[in-house]
Amino acid sequence: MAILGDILEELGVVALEYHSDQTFHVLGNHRSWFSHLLEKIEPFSEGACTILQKDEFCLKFPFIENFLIDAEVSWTEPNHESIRSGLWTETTHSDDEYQLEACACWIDGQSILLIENHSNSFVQHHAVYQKARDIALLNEKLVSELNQRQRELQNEIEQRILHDASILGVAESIKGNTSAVMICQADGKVEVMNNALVDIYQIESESDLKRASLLDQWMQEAEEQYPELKNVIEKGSYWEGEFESIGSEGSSHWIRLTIGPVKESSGVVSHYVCVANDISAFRQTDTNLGGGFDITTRLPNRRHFWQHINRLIEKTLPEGKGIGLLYIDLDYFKRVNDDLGHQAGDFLLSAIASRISRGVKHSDFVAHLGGDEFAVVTMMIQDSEQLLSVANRLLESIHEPLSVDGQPITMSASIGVSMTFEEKFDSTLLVRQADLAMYTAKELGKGQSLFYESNMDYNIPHKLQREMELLEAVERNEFVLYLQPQISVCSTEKMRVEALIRWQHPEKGLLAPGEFIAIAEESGLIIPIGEWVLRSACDMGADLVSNGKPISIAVNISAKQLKHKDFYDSVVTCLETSGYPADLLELEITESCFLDDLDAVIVLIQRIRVLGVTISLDDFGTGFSSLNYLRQLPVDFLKIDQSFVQEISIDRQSQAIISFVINLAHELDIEVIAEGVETDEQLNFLIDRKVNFIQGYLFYRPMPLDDLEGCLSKIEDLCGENPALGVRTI
Amino acid sequence: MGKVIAKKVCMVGPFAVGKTSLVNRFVKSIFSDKYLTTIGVKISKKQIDVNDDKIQLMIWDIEGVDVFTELKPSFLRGASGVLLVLDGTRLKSLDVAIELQRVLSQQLPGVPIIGLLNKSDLTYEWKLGDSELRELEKLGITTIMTSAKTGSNVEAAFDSLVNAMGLGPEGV
Repeated sequence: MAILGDILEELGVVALEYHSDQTFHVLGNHRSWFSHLLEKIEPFSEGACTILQKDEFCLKFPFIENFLIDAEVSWTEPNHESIRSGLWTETTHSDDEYQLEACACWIDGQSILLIENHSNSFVQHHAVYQKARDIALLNEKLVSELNQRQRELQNEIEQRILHDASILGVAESIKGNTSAVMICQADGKVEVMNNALVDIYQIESESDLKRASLLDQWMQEAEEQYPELKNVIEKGSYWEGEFESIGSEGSSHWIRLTIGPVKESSGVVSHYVCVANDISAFRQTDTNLGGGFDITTRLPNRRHFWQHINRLIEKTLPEGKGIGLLYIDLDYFKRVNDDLGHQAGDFLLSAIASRISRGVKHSDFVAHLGGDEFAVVTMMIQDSEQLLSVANRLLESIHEPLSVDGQPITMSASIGVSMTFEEKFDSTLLVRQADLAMYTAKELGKGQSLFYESNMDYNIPHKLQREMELLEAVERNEFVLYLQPQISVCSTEKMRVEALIRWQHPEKGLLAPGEFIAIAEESGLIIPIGEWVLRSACDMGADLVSNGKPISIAVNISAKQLKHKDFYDSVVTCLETSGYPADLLELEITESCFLDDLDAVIVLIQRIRVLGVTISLDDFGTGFSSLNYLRQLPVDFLKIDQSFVQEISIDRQSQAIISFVINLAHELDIEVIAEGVETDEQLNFLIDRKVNFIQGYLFYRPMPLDDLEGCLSKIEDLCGENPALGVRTI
Repeated sequence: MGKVIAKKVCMVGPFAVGKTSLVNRFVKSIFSDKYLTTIGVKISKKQIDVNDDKIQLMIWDIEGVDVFTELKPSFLRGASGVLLVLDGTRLKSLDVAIELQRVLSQQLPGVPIIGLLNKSDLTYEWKLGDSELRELEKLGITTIMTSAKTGSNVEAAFDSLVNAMGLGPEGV
């Protein structure tokens, strides 16, 4: 191990192991530079190990605090992909600076945070960037000066024509100019051109170029970017711009062109003076560095997308024609990427990019905004139907099976659609609307397209904003736990409740889990939230026990939480800390918990059951509901999903399924809980089929602990009697 | 007894517009004419008094955007305000700033952004005219002309941002 310490020293790396008690344990002896940085905080030691409290570490190192949000997500995700923070500079009390980079990785089942000291190599790294940016700055200055000189030359030629009225005299003066100059009549007929222009278009003789009507060619080439060009020229106004132009041999050049009219005293345009510079070299630099295009899909990137959409703001569309935007997000791409690897992920993105490009008109603009997001900007649309038809066509095309490394893969996407018919439209708003529509399509089950509607603004605030609110809610402890009684039908032995989380939002009031759990799952915040629920439920349960009320509390556990490496330890810790008897704690899991790795979940559940904790299988019937799973899983209770219960009165199939499930569960010695019971008819049916427990608004809504304590005696009375005859309190 | 409120603000903009110089002027009252490019992020802190409260500004000076570097959205997370810095002598910085504004409004909806037209001491090289400023206004960005070199309006810029964040004398 000593040599490992020396290797880390040589590499300038400090490794910290993250523990579930919110501490970082420094692995090995930490480096002198790290000690220097740690002057900011007071670590403590356990034997030879230095331990840092996460809170204090984050407080003093805000960059790390920000990075840990992403790190904790990566540590909880199944593929445990390493992520890097990017470089940052940390300053000590004595004003020494360190250039550092953090890396979150997963090694041998441990969450590891590496902090790399790049200070030694930073000087060279910085020198390269400094040089590059100095050159870029100089480049920008040269372009700016070139533009200025081009305008001055343009003006000078116009003035000479007006004052000398001698085109031939002007021709002689501009012959050797490094800027390309063309003077043509109002109808486009070329009178003068210089050598630089002939060079750009690589032609043998000037006469060829004269016949080619270069002014018309330029107007056509620039029209897509500058739709106003024709109008401006016809009105006899000055114009300048940059666009791609094709030479006589098909070679492409970026040119910067100025066009200025020369008017007679009557105001009629007699000539146009056109000055052009070949700026391909400046543009080439940008392209070579990948600027504007995504490397994987070779489609325009996000920056390019915004440039394009902003240029459209200036475009005048014909009456009744609008601009449409399709915001496309692939469903479950991350999972595919995680399962098959990044190379396969990149291949998939390229294939989808190609399908999207082929599925739209040639004149539509397709961009890869990053990750699994694409956008299509389409012009000249007439109505939303037209756009939705394009969106549905793309959905079908994306859904066609693909073969990745010999494995058949079927992808789907969610598409948000927005459009505008306004001149000078707000491009940010257009994109936001499509984004919201896409997000709504995802929320409503994915694999579909939706047109933006104004109520989406209210229902779906920005994802990042909501994540931030949720993060603050965790920090401010804004959650409360409600308890909903489960009424025993056939015995008085057990008093049971299910713990249900609520978010006491500072502005929106009490929010149900449906409004935030999906975001918590997606952002990884489900881990701290889930831990809070488990801890609070055990504390509440222990309070009830100490008041002489041994009530069993069922706690919902998410798939991510169950797969977290510290889950078992956190169950043990919560039980030990609270003193709540293990046999009163019940963990509710869903089928999604064991779909990935049934064997590992069985082992974990068996370990938990050894503690005395019981397990119930929630939402039974909604997922795969394999009877094989039911046979293998060591569960004590099974909860019939409320969607079946609510259809008892109208659907004979639901009745048959419920009867079958109850019988089967009883055969396997599993007790059955029916949730979402709201009517007498449902209750009577379930009692008749010998369900064990009833949960639903027919008896009690979820309530705070104080309220529950107030009605415990009524619940006790209800349990064991025929609840259909009992007292109901809602 | 007033409270200490920590707030994150981000300095964002194209490369070489003077973001780091503005931070150095504001935090340390120093300025250097030499252009030293920033790589990554550097966080500086400055405490300011507003009424009875103390506001601890955590100023994230984020590497400028160029062909090598795009703005990393995770650096913006949790920001309460943004100073979008432009170089008044470089028209191109306006184009990049407009693109950045789109990213900011997507990533930080509702978070105030103030545009700083820096290098106002370079009067003869100034390129940003009224039409350019109108483009920024259309995007809802209030602009302030600043000079990190002379210190002109630097304090005022941060004060305006704090005000826009609802923490200034009118907001508290």
